[in-house]
Amino acid sequence: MNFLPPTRIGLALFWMLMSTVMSNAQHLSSARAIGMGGYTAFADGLDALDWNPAGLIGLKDWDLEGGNFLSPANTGHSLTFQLAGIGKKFLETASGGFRISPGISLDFDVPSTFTIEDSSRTVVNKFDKKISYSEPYALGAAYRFGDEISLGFSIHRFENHVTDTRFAVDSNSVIQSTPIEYSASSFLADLGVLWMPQASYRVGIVAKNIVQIIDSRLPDEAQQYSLTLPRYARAGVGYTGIDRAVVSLDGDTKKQFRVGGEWAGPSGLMIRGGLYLDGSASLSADAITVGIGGSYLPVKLDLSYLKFFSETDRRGSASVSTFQSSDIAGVEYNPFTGDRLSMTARVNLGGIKTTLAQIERLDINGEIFPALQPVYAYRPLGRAIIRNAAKKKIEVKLSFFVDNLMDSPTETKSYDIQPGDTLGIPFCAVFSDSIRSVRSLSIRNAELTVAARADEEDSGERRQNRILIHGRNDWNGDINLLRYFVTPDDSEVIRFTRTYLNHYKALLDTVPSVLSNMARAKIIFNEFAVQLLYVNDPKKSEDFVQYPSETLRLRGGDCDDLSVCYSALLASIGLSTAFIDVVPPDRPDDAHVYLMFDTGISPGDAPLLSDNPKRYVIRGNDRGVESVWVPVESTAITKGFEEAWKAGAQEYYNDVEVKLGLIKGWVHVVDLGTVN
Amino acid sequence: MNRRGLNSTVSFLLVLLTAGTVLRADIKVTAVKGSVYVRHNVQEQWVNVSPGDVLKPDDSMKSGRKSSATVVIDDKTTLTMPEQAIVDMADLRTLTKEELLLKLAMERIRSVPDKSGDDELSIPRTTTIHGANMDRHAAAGVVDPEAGTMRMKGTEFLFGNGFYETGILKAKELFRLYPNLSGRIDDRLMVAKALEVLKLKGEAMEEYIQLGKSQLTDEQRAAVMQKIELLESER
Repeated sequence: MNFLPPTRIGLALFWMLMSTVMSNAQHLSSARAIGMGGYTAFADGLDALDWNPAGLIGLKDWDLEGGNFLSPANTGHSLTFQLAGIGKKFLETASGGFRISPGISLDFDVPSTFTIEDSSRTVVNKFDKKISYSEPYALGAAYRFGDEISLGFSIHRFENHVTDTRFAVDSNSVIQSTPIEYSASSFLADLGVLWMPQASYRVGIVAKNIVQIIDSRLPDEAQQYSLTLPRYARAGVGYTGIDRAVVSLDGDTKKQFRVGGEWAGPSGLMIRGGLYLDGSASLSADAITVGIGGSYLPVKLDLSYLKFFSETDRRGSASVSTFQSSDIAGVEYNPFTGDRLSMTARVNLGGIKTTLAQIERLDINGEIFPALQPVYAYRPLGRAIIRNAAKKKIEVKLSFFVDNLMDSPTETKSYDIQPGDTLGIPFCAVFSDSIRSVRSLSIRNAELTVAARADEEDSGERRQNRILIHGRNDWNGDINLLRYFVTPDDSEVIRFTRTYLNHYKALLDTVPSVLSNMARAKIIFNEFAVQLLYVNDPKKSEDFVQYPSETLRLRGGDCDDLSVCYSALLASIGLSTAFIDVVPPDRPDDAHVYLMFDTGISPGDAPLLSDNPKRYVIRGNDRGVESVWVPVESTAITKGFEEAWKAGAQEYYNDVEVKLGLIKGWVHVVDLGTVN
Repeated sequence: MNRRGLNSTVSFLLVLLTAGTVLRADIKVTAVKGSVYVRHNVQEQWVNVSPGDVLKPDDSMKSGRKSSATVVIDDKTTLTMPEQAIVDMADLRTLTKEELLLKLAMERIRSVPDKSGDDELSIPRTTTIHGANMDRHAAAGVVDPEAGTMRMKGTEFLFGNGFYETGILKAKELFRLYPNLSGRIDDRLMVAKALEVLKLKGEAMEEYIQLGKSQLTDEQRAAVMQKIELLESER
């Protein structure tokens, strides 16, 4: 029995009757996979079509792949073209691939003899019966859900051909031979999942041949050659937490196990080794593998050698009974597969440059409030965990971009990362004014790009993430952030103060300069009060704040709206203001905010304002200069300045001086700025 | 936990932690001699007070020349307010040492926008539209110069009755409001001694050091230096 390339078994030799049932579920479509042994958790290219279709997500833009192998144990010693394929990554979350594989086949050649004897002669006809199983092509796709989980499927075309010769004697006693051919075909589908719960762990699970669609069957007379590939499941785990090395382990429901690993050697050389184990009877080693790999620019080359411990039936011939009793689970790897030297080449067209840095995780610091637009330009919006994927120190820089809400990406400074290290890099975002047009809660796609550089080489990687943008008036209830609703440079605010201070210019000119600020604050307050039509609940609403221009336009609002508006009006004429946030310990639901402003009056002149020191607060500024501040209850605005001042002063005295709220922490004073 | 829930929890803890300070809620006037007035909360006017009146913590009491008033706090403590003094009722209480220290620290906190590093922005200021007004009248001058003296007298009353914490705070406030009072060395010595009584030796020494920079009589200076040496040796 001679193998025909790649596997041809002649059934003419009946020299052994094997009763062992062997089942094999490995694949030999990738030299890297062969070399590593376990590969279900690491499949990341077109080889994922066989090993775990979810691994297709590891494709880098356009990927081309081709493979050959040589079986030195067989008599032919010929180099076989095994496969060629193409894959493409779509966006950041989807990939697909297609592969033709003329070399994934199993051919049997059965020599037969047909003898006709009559009185005068004996005619001996020899012919070959050919039985062929092949997987001519496969395709698949994968999709990534979040950062951790990818799902994929692959469909394999499976074909079965039987070629025989039929003899007949016609009416003229002439022997006629007629070639006959039977064919059967089906589609087999695999489903896979790839889970990366942590940066150091990978888990892959695949259901093989889970869906089988029969296209055509062999006729009854050829049913004995029909081969049905079994359904089974395989799981693999991989660990990448070891310095410059990874280890992997696979196991399947057919009790086949593989263990192995890969080590990053010098000069980018990858060295691999693996062991194939059979546990169907008792656990025994089936084969051992070694492999090497390397890359040059966009081309990756892998080489592996698969060596079986037992050569029985693997040298190109076997008995018919062995064939009949064997449980072939795969066209490529089965009890008749011989030792082989495999070569795989992979070319990445879209990602010619080597990836120097990888984005391992992207964290956004909570939800985004448009009112905090200026804050995000200085305070980190999030953090990206970047890993140095090169073998040398790299310099990385992040840029963050949200389409429609930013004019251009916001870049970080450069950071150095040592080989193998990870670094958390904070990033900010300079949003354009368009973020203040976001009316309600919405989800946007944000894109983070990491640009890495090492020596003269550079690379880039992108990651998309969804971010939650609140509406322009949304507020998270933090009093420290309320100040960002205060917009003294708003044209409507300026127009308001300009109009009324001009109107009262004559009156203001009669006011002693020491009381000028107080007089102007009073005029603005009273004019503001005249315009108000309604005032809402004096309590603070934690989720919605009006901008000053909106309060002026709507002529009303609750305590935080009025405090924000009056603060902006005072700030627009150069007065410093501060919010007073009160969260009563016994009534936290009655949280309230009002304000005070700096009159600029020195403490010694404070009695000019009032004989009662409870009406004002002495505060120092950052230059050590103390001045008199006046509390104002903005919700008492309709009663006029005097009453609002009185109400504010009484609240402040009771909360801060009598009940000691400031030192007990339930009263907060948040300064909005000082007059320069 | 939402913000309200968090607030409730924090507030409850704060109430527990600060339960040491009990606010005097019941201050009853039992006797009045001469002219004694009360000013309620933030009102401007002083009104006559009579025996039997109940005062609130946010009220203030003022006594005229040769006048006095007796108050009973929570039916336990009887105090007689001297003549020509102003006392805030909120000061008739004892603070914990922590509360006093926090209040003293608060005085040193400047009114500047929260700037944690360089990641914050100040609210921009629009230029004042009127510009400098050169022809404005000067201030009319401080109203009622006696008020400061009367309030300082009230502060001495606090020290005399063991309300050292509120006395210290009040005296410091008056020194800021009425700069001429800071020349009253005896009152400043009183503050330093009160800090000593409260065993706040560091704060007391700071007061004595500041006093040492003032114009003192030889006798006062000797006493101050002695105190500084004593406190230094006890460190």
